[in-house]
Amino acid sequence: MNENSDIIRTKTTTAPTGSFISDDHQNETEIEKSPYAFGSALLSGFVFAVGLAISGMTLPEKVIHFLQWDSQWDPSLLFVMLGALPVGALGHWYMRSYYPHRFLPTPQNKKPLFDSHLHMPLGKDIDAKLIIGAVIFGIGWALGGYCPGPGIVSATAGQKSAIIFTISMTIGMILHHFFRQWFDHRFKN
Amino acid sequence: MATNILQSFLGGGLIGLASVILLVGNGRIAGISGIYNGILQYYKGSLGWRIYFILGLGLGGYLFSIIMPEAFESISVTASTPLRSPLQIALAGILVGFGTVMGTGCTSGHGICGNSRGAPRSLASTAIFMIVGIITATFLIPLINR
Repeated sequence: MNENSDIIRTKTTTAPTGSFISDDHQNETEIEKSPYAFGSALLSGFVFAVGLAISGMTLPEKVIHFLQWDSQWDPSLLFVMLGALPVGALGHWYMRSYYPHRFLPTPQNKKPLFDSHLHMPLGKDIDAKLIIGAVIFGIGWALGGYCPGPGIVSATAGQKSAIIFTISMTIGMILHHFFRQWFDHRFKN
Repeated sequence: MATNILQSFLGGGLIGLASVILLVGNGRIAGISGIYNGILQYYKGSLGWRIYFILGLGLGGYLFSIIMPEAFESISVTASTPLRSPLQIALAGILVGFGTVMGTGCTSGHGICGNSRGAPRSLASTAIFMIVGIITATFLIPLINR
């Protein structure tokens, strides 16, 4: 594949350097390797973990009682989403990193502080992979009570169940790697 | 219940803040499964920030295991806790790992980041994993625990 094939410029023709969006992970610029960039990632991960722990997402029985619609239904985890979405939406609006809408003017993307450009997923199709992946994840989330973030956070907090979960999640990701290789080999060409 | 809701709301706000820090600072989506998978796949061009993000997660987890141990499972086990065998947790982990990589995101990448930027793929993914999760927890888990 052409190395630049997945870099798509936004519709604005006079885009200055740094205003394009890509989802490549091949070329690392110097600023990406700066202590500031690493510090920002470290801070983000830390705040994320604090948010998960405070919100109750790290309690699998709470997650399962949220998903289990019976007499003991616990709706509080709905408010995690309600708390996170406005903050996230404000950030994405500020950076103009949302999907270009037909009813909104073409966004002029902002440059991140410690990177040359925004790295955003470019896929737009709701395809079979997305749907089947979400189904498999939904089953696993309900069975274990952990999604990836709380799994890793609880594992580092020393939770045995989360350590089992994180190890097997790693195995699942590696399994997918080989599955995709086999699938591409078998069904493409 | 009211304090639970307030805690969840505040925690959610912090999760949103964390995703904005990564977006404004590094220009990246704070999707845990994607970040973690990027380390496993050894994405040479973007390994550094991924490792530091996961380190930050771990640091937060370790700190909270000391200052707020009730945030994690073993301390707050109640009689109503659904029983999960280690085998069930291991199976869940494999499904979550496989499914999130196949569907390119989890509760953080699709549920929070994707939805807050208005990505149609993320809205679809969130709706599907929520509905499937509710069906699994409501109908399948009582069958397993019987």
